[in-house]
This record gives sequence, C-alpha cells and structure tokens, in this order.
Amino acid sequence: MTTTTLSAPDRVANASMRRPSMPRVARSIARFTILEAWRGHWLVAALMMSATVAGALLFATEMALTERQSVGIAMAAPLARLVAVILLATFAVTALTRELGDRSIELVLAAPVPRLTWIVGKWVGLCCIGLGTAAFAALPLLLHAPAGAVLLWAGSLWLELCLVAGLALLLSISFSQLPAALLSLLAVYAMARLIGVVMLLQSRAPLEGMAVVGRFNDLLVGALAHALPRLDLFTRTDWLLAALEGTRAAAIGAPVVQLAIYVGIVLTAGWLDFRSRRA
Amino acid sequence: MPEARTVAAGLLVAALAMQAAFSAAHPREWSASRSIGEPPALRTVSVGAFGEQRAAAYAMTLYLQSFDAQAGEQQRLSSLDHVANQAWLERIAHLAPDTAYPAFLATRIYADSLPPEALRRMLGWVHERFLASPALHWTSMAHAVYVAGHTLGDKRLAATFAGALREHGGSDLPPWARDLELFLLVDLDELQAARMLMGALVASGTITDQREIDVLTQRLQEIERRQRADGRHLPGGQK
Repeated sequence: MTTTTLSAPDRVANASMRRPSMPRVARSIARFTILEAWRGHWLVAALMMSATVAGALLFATEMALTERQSVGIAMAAPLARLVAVILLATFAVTALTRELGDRSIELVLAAPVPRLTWIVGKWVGLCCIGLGTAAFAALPLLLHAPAGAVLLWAGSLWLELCLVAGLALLLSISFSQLPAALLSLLAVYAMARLIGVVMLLQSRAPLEGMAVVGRFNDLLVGALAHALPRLDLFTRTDWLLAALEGTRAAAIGAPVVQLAIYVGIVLTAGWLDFRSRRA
Repeated sequence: MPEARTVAAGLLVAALAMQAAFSAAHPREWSASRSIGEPPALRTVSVGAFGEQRAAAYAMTLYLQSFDAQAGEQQRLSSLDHVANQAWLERIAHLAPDTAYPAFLATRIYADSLPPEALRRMLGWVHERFLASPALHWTSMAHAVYVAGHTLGDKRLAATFAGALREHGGSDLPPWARDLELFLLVDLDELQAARMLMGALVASGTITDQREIDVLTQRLQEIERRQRADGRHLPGGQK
C-alpha cells in the first residue's frame, strides 16, 4: 500500500480549490451583520424605541378614565410594532445598500462563496437583530399586559421582522440605492398592512357605472392581496387585549406558516436577481 | 483671540436664544371651539390606523374626552355640541364594539350636562348598547337607571331600564343590580341614590380602578355642591 504525499505548492493549490462549508461561511456573514449593526448604535436606537413606547403607554394610561390598561396597551402596541419595523428596515437597508454600493461585496464574492450563502447569512444576521428589536419593543408592554401574552406578541413581531428582513434583502439587491430600497420596502409593508382594509372598503363601495374599470380594479387589488404577505395575521394587539380582558385565545400558527412561505419567495427571488446582475 | 470652538458655542447659544424669542413672539393660535365637529369617516379611520380599529377607537375617545379642555381653559360640558359628541360616541362604539368606554363617558361624564331630550336620546343609546352586549355594559345600564330616575326625573324610564337590567343582565349580575327596581320605589334623593350606587359598585368589587372611583367620587361631590347651592335659594332665604 502506497501513500501519496503532496508537495507544498500542491497542498496550497488544493486548499484554494476546496470550498469552505456553507453553514460556517453563512454563520460568519451573519456574525459580521450583527457586529455591523452593533457598531451602528443599534442598541441606542432600540433603547430609544423602548422609551418612546413606554412613554406612549404611560401617557395613554394616564389620560384614560376607565379601561386604563387596555387603553395603554391598545395605543402602545401598534406604535411598538411600527417603530420596530422601521428600525429594522432602516438598519437592514442601510447596511445592505452600502455593502452593495461601495463594492466591498466584491471581496466576499471573489472568495469561493456561493451567492445563496451570502443571502442566507445576511438574512440570519438580520433575524438575530430582529430578535433583539422585538424584545426591546415588547418590554414596555409588560407594564400592563400578562407576560405570556407579551411573549406571544413579541414572538409574532420577531417573525414579522424576519419577513421584513427578507424583503429588505430582495429590495436592496434589486435597487442597490438606499432611498429607493427603503421607500419601496416601507411602501410594500404599508400596502401589506392596508390591503385588507382596501378590499373591505372596495367590497362595500362598488364603483357604479364604471363596470370595466371596477372589474380591473377588483382584479388588481385581488392580485395584490394574494401576492403580498398577510401581515394582518401577525402581531395583533387583540391578543394582548384578549389576555388582559380574559376573552379569546391567540393563534400563532398562521404567522409561522406565512413566514416560511414568504421567506422562501423573497430569498429565492433575491438570489435569482443577485445571480443575474453580478454573474 | 477666542478659539473657534468658543465662538461656535457662543453662536449656538445665541441661535437657541433667538429661536426661543421667535417662538415666544408668535404665540400658537388656540381658539376654544364649542363643537368637536363630525367624527371622521370609518374608512378614513381604518386606513389611518393601519387597520388597528381598537387603537383608533381609544385615540378618538381620548380626543373626545379631552375636548372640553382647550386653549388652556376648561369649558363647561353643557356648552359643548352634544349632538356631535353623541355622534362621536356612536362612531367609537361602531369601531370597537368590545369596549365599554363610550357608554362610560355617556353615563358618567356627559349625562349631567345634557338637556332633557338629548339626555333621553343618550340613555336610549346606552340601553341599545346594553342589549347588544349586556356583560360589557351592565354597569353603564345601572348608571342609566340612576340618571333616568334622578337627573331626568323620569321614574317610568328608570323602571324600564331596571327591568331590562334584571331581564338581560345574565347570571353574572350581582344581586343589588338585579334588585335595582326596588331602590326606585324607595324615596331617595339624588345624593343618597348616587352614594348607594357607588357604594354597591365598589363593595361588590365591580369597580377596582382608582381612577374610575375618583370619577364617581368627583361626581358625588358635584351633586353635593349643587344641592348646597340649591339650598341657598330655598324659599324664605335660608342659607
């Protein structure tokens, strides 16, 4: 039995041909994403968000004459949700467009790293930042709402932020510019939150005498409603109020399924776009 | 020669002082308005609140409740546009049927300041709210019985409300609320009836929130003040 020994130059050539394992590279990219957010004073922004939510909660509670805890929660929880989404969207899009714009990504792509690994690594890093953001957003709600309900609400907010992180990745890759990417992300988010209300209003107020336009409108809104993520199923204030008033139970199954489906869509679309643009 | 940093700091302080002076020279134009106006349309509220109906309803409630405090002065509730106020209450209840806050405002805050016809309409609305959701609105209905009997002076309407309370109140209704019709038969004056109602609500543990107790206590004090004022104008000039 003979053993083959490689010369030093062969070993170097062999090592450069060998690709590092995908999970390890993704972990490194995720860690770097978290580190970048930390250096970008994410903690300060998160603390300011917590203080704003706590202030809104205490102000509303102080104003109310009855149902004080419900009033506080009903006013503070939607604010916390919105601010958390804006905070994560801003950090995600700023970091991604900077990396894509200043060509520092070329260094990463020059290494034998699949582009999907970069996308997954970035998304996992943003999800970790989302976890912290959701926790800081939910913290002030513990002043009035039961811990179990707040945990459920924060869990759902985290899932929502993971979905927003996926959208941020897709739109940053597509637009590469901060204003376009951030504004389109906020527009998609607002549309996803409002599409249910728009459909409700449309069904209640049909356009009379404009049958063709009305039908086209129906089709357009219907198509949008099916294409956009069902954010109305996520992070509902009703869950907190129900726990406070002891009326109904919450359901978090639908947000989990929605996240799985939609993250699959946006990450795949982002990957395809990334491949075609930077091949 | 001063350093550039010192000059910059001096300029900043001067600019801040100028900003404060400018703001003081242009006072905000606050003018007290008697009418809150029409409530915003349901679709406007739904879109504006991102579909968070309950939050929108509470925000409207707080705005309505604070409307009497404007331009740095407290207006008399009786001087406000009660038709617009009731329209706001109805819109809030429509937005968030799960809250008892609008009926609370109607019976504990606005009831004393309304002219008889408007009060009758408001109590009728509270009655409707109670029939739609008895468990949520029975305390407001108990107040409506008292308001109909003492503020409006319509014992028959009060008896109708008390009968509705007994009939539709459900099994969770405390015994004193079920027997409210009996209280109407006893010849109590307004203050005694208000004390009895508040005592029953607190003793039965129905009201535990200190702010709500404060609102009721304030109301008792107002009745006391009113009765004392009425006493000064008794025939014979007794004071």
